Amino acid sequence: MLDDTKRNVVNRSRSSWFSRLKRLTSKELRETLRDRRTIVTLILMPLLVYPILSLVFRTVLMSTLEETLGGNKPAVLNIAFSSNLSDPQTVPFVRMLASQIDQLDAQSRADQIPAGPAAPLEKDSATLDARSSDDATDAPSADPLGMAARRPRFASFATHRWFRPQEDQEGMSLSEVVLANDVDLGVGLVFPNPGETGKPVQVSLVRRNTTNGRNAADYFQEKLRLFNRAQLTDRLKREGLRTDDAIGLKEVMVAVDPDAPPSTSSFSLASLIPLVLVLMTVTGAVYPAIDLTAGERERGTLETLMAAPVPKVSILMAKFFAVWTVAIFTALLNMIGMAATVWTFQFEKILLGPGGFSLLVIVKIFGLLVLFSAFFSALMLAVTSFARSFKEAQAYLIPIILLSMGPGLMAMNPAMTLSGVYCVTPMVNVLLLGRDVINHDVQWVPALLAVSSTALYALLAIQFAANRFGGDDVLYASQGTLGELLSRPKKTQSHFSTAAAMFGLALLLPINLVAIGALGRMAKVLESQYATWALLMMSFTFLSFFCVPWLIALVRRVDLSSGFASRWPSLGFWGPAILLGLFMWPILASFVDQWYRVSELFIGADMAAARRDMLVELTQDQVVKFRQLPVAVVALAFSIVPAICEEWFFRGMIMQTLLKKGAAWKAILVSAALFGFFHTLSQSTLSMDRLLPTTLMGILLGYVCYRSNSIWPGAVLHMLHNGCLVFLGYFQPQLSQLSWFPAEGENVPATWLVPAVVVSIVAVGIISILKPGEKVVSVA
Amino acid sequence: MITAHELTKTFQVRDNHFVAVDHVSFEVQPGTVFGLLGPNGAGKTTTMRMILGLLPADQGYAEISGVRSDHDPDGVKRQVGFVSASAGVYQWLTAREMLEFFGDIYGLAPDQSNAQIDALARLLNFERILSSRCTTLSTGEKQRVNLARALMHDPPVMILDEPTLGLDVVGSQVIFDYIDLLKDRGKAIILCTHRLEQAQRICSEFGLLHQGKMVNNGSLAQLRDETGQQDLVSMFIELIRQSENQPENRGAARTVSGVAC
Repeated sequence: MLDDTKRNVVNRSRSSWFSRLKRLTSKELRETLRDRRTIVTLILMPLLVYPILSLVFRTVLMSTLEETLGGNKPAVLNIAFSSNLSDPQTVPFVRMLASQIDQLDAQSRADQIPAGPAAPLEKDSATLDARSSDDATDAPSADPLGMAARRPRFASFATHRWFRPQEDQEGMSLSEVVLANDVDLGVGLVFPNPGETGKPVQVSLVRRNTTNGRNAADYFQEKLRLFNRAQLTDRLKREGLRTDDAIGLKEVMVAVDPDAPPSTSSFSLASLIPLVLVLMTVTGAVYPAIDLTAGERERGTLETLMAAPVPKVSILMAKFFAVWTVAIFTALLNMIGMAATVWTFQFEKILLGPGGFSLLVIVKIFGLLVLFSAFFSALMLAVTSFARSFKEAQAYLIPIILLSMGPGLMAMNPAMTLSGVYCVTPMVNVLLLGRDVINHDVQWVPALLAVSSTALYALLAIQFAANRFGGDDVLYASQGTLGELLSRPKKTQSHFSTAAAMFGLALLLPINLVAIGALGRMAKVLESQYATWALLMMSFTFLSFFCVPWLIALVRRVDLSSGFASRWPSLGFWGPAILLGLFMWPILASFVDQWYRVSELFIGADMAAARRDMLVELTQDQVVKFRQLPVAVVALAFSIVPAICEEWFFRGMIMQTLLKKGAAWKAILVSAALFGFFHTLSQSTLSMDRLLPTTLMGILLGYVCYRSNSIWPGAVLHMLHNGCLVFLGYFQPQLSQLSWFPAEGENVPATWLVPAVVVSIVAVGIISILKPGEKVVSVA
Repeated sequence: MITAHELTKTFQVRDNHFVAVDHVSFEVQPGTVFGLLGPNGAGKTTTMRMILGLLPADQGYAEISGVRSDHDPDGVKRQVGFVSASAGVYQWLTAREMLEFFGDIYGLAPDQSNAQIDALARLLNFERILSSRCTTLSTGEKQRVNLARALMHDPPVMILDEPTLGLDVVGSQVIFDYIDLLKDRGKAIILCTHRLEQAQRICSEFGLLHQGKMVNNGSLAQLRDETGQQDLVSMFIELIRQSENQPENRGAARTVSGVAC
């Protein structure tokens, strides 16, 4: 009986929670949808924007696009082939294969045209490259683009051109041949030995990691399937080659050459569609997100709402559902507007190829937009929950929308595929998945990763927004001015204000980027003067990470001892910090090894190996250069100065400010993540490989600083850790002669790793039980 | 019914700390109106927000019918009707829709809610605007709708922060008459206002706040004895004059008045 009563109470409370949420949401929606400003973005924009854009598109770009995509310049599928037999034996087979593929291609097009005569086929030749010009063969080819045919996606290859690798490329693997010759697809032919009757010719495909490469592999696989199905064994037998009834297939992916510019022929306008839809969806959600948060505060209804006995999370959830609903409506209307415009102006073949739109694609894209709009609605609410006015909320959102253009434009790069870290990169994953959906090329594991990570980000953003929404600092605080940020207080401050710390962070990011760029340029100029370059790098580290925070502290009258935790620590912390500095490097080095193994699961063994090789090569290049320098300069430039300056900024300025504001674990994590992020900055790209190990190191350094209340034990740890790594490289030639030292390329041996782990655990244990350092004393 | 015990709140403004409310204590019994009075920046609004649980107190606590606002803020909010000078209205909703929404929040059934809306509209004389969107209402009408909003759940406690701000004489009179009525119905009321004559008329007890401190607390007779002044206006003028004559208070008084407290 009691259980029943309890159950009823629980059910009632759940039902009341949901019904209250429903009522709160309906009120928010009613208020939002009655506002004519919402109507403008919701209905008028999709109605007007697409037709106007289409007119411009048709007038200005059409001729160029038609030329590129439509007829005069049909895309060419470049195929390199290799074989285990000599040319006289292989070339006839290749010739026959090319011919058969073209015939099958033409046949399949004709079959797919429902009525009337087959589309006229423009004959072209599938030639062997001039490098083996004697073997050139004329074979019938596909039609230019097959716009009339309704083939899903293979129509973009009008011609296939076969290449024989050059003589100097003999001995290279097929992957290397593909990269070296800038071709889309490599076809490796392994003919059976003369005695092995009944065995098929093994065909392995190696494709470039580009859209063109992927399309080429799909195209070729499809044709080989048709080839097998057509039972062409007899014809092959006439050529004197035994293939029996099947040609084995094996596809291997090749890492794209990172320095190679993306092929223009592989650019797909399909990437534009998700980007436009996403941006339009975001546009629809902006106004309600601002109005329901900062607008409430400005109108004076937020305090009234906070004075009511409703959990903040219910209010926020209602607002989220209202914003999400508007965003979904916007997405839907945009899709309808876009589909209608594309249909009216007959753009579907230009944008999507002969397959055009299908209802399934539209439903899938809409599903993605529903998910994406949930994420972006939550993100916007999280951001606008900080704002105290409409104007402030706009100021926060505009950069976010502009920043979101970055991933959007990145995702248009055909070389980018939904794999690896891109599966979980916000916005990029949805855009890449959208492109794959349009291209009928969805890989399920990356797609699931993209969907689940986006849903997770949405939940995290809601949770964050619920914590921030209606907080008394937002509800009652007045807005600060720039003058206040730069003004000099009358009294000494114990810590940086959050605004001042953020200002420092905002200054350091561009300073770092510019300095990294400048150092990169100087590296070429000062190639023979590496000492000068190293000193420049050291000076830059000192100026940016030490002097900039110090100047801000000077202006803001921040006490250096408490603001940077530069006070002297208890003696007990030195020992464990020194031990960690000396013993952490094998653990982190081993972690990096493991990290590459894990990354193989996401990006493939080839790609992971390529990245690792690149990093090793870069590091070795650096090591070779700094071996020319005196030991003292190396120690100063790569160990001592970076350690002190980075601790001064990350564990000093940033972490101490965060510690004053919130929980220690948050302060440690955020400062560590920033530490990790700054280490990924490099001249040409983000070195994401460094993110996780450096962030983990940042967490350890943050913990040591938190326990000791001083940056100095961490600075010593940091210095010794850097020193160990640098000097292992510096003295590598001498060390490698020692029998017990691992050879180049070998992993850290377990006999080193186990003691390192034991010593590190003991050191962290000692730090955790030591009496914490002197607590921060408020100066003001 | 309402107990404020040693309530203290400090704000950091720019680089300085200001004690906005400094160990303020008082009690309000059912059927009484407690006039929490003081010049701008005295700490009245901050005190009310702490009582309601909208702002956490640095020291001390507030209690309503034995429920502490720091322990159970929702429990306190259920018992309080709150009207502030800055309270706005939902401009795209009608007055009735807005009141229905708050009735819903406070757990009223739809028929209960409608009956309450009609009764309050009759009493506060805004029946004719019930179907109008709030954006079209005048300041006085908005304030009456807000007062009705705070009374939707018929709370035993009312906290009214400048409920007549921006209203004309007639509009103010309607509000004050209604507060008088609420007092007669046994509600415990805290009233902040600068209309001292009206406060003197309807308040049973007074707390004079200045620079965050409770300077005087008691009935009008007790205040007269303590200050030697006959009415609240004279008491105020004297209070401010004395304060401004103290050199150490000049700067602080000005700075504190810039804080939202």
